Amino acid sequence: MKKHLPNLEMKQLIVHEVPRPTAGSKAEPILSEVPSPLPTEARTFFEEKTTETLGSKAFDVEFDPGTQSSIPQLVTATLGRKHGFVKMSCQAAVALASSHTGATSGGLLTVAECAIGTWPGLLLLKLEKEEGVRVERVGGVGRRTLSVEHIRTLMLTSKTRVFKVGLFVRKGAKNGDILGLVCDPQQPRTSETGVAQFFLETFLGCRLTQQPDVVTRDFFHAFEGFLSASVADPEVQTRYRMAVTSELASQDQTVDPKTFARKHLAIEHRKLLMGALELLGVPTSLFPKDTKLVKARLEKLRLDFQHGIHVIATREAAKERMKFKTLSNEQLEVTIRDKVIRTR
Amino acid sequence: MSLVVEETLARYAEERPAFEASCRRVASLLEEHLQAVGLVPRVTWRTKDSDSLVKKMVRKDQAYDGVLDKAGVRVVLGYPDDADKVCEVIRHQFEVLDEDNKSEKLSADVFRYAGVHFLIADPDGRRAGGRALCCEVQVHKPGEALWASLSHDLTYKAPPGIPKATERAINRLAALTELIDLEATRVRRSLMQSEGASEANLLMTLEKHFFRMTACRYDERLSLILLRELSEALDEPVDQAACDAVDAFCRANHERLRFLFDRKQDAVRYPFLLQPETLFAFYLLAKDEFRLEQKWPQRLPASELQKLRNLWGAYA
Repeated sequence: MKKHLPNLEMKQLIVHEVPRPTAGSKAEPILSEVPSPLPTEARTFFEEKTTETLGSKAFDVEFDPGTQSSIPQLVTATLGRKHGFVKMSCQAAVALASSHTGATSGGLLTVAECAIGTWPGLLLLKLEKEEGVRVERVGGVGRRTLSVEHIRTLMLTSKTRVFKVGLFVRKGAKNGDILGLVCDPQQPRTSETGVAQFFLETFLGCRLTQQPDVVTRDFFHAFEGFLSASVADPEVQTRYRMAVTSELASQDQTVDPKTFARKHLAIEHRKLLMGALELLGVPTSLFPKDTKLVKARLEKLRLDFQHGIHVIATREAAKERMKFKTLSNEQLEVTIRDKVIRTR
Repeated sequence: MSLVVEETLARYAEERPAFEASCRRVASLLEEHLQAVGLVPRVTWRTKDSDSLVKKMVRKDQAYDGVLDKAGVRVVLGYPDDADKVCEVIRHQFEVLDEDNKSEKLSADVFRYAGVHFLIADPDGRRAGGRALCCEVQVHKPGEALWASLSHDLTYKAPPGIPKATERAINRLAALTELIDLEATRVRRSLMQSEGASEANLLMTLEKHFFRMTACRYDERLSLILLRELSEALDEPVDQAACDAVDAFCRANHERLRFLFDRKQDAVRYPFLLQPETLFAFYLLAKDEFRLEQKWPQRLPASELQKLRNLWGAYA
């Protein structure tokens, strides 16, 4: 769905206040009764901010059949024109308030009716009120100066990072035809799913469409395919292989293939890697990582040579103690600097 | 023909709004059809002034209904060699009642106005005084437009029996304007074939598609500078094959590009979008976004690339 995001058009938008719960009791949301006026500039800003964020940071999601959340039903009914937009947004605000715990910060639930081409859609954004200082030139009689005003009621600025977004669009008549994208840019790279659990599961009633372990395995396989098909130089192959194992073994819970490519691959190989990923249906943008299906492959580097030489090294040892140099005829010179503790 | 001036003027005053609506509509449709094939010549319209109408009727001894240029549209081309394309669009898109290529009527040793005139039926079937309206469309190359404006003063106002030397001078001027069109065409073709003209060729390819999206004028010098710098990301020469590939890309993505241009024509927020090289940047984004970001022209802020990425859905 990401490639269609530039076509997203916002139709109407409503904002409800969802305060932070106080000790021992849930906070009641302060509900708006009608959609907010949406001048063209504000509409464009909202569209651009959300599509940019979703495009680079969102994960594909689907409704979880076992969820307790009312959102899947509300979204499905509203996209099927069986439920009013304002009523749905109020119920969503109530649902968000009840999913909040004492540790969750309050905020604003913005619900927008939108469309991507002919597909109807709904955007749910959880935003926090922001503060800022407005500076404005004041002229007229007297000496020229600037007025400075502290504003506590900002909702979304070009620098806003503290917000969560869910987008649902219906591409067909069946229930399964609803596509979802969810992102949470404020979530640390080390969080388990890349999205706050209360937002993804408790509130939206969703789960990730692609299981992190499966998509991580597919990424690894696609990478191996790319290496053998597109990288002839054995030294470069080895360097890339070490880079990918290092990336997958890191503490980060997400992988961004484009960032990886920029950081580790030569310019002529980056596009080729993206092609290899697309071929296997692996996202070329951020995806949640789980290495359990490729763990064994990540722990050790193994080199099999043409004339019966095999080298196996832990990832760290290979990085610290081995050097690689490509010779003529596609031969690789490997230098190992270490103490021999046993021979067989 | 006996002319009752007051009656003629009264009838024309009554019918003139219909003629005005007719030529305004023809001009607007013509601009649309020309833009659809990537041409944005200057298109103007006018209804004949009342006094000119009466004077023409007297001068040519014509009846009111015999004056066929009461509604008139003029197309002045930027490039002389676009004339055939414009004429083809008129023939294809309008009901042509008559076509008059003035150059065909001139003998080999006479130089005069050589534009093409079309008489077309009102596209919406307007009528006035019980008759179907028609509109005259003149297609002028730049030199012909110059001659049309010069000749208005030089020949129409010339007294009868002008000296032979003056007539010869008028001929020389007419020949000169014809020469302007021929030389402009020749020089342009020669420039396009010369070494280092690759960016200009590419710009022509892009311009054709750009004008299908928007009629806005752009900064040509900036385009040539940016195309030269963006071409670094192509990693291959900007030859005819490259132009053809860009052309194919623009055709294949026409609807998508059109949508962007329709929605994002905000000159303040997207100044770069209103330049044809943006289409080339989209082509490069689709071809290899990594190479484009590495070779992105230093004179352009990185935020412009980010905006184009977001517009194209090639998120970083």
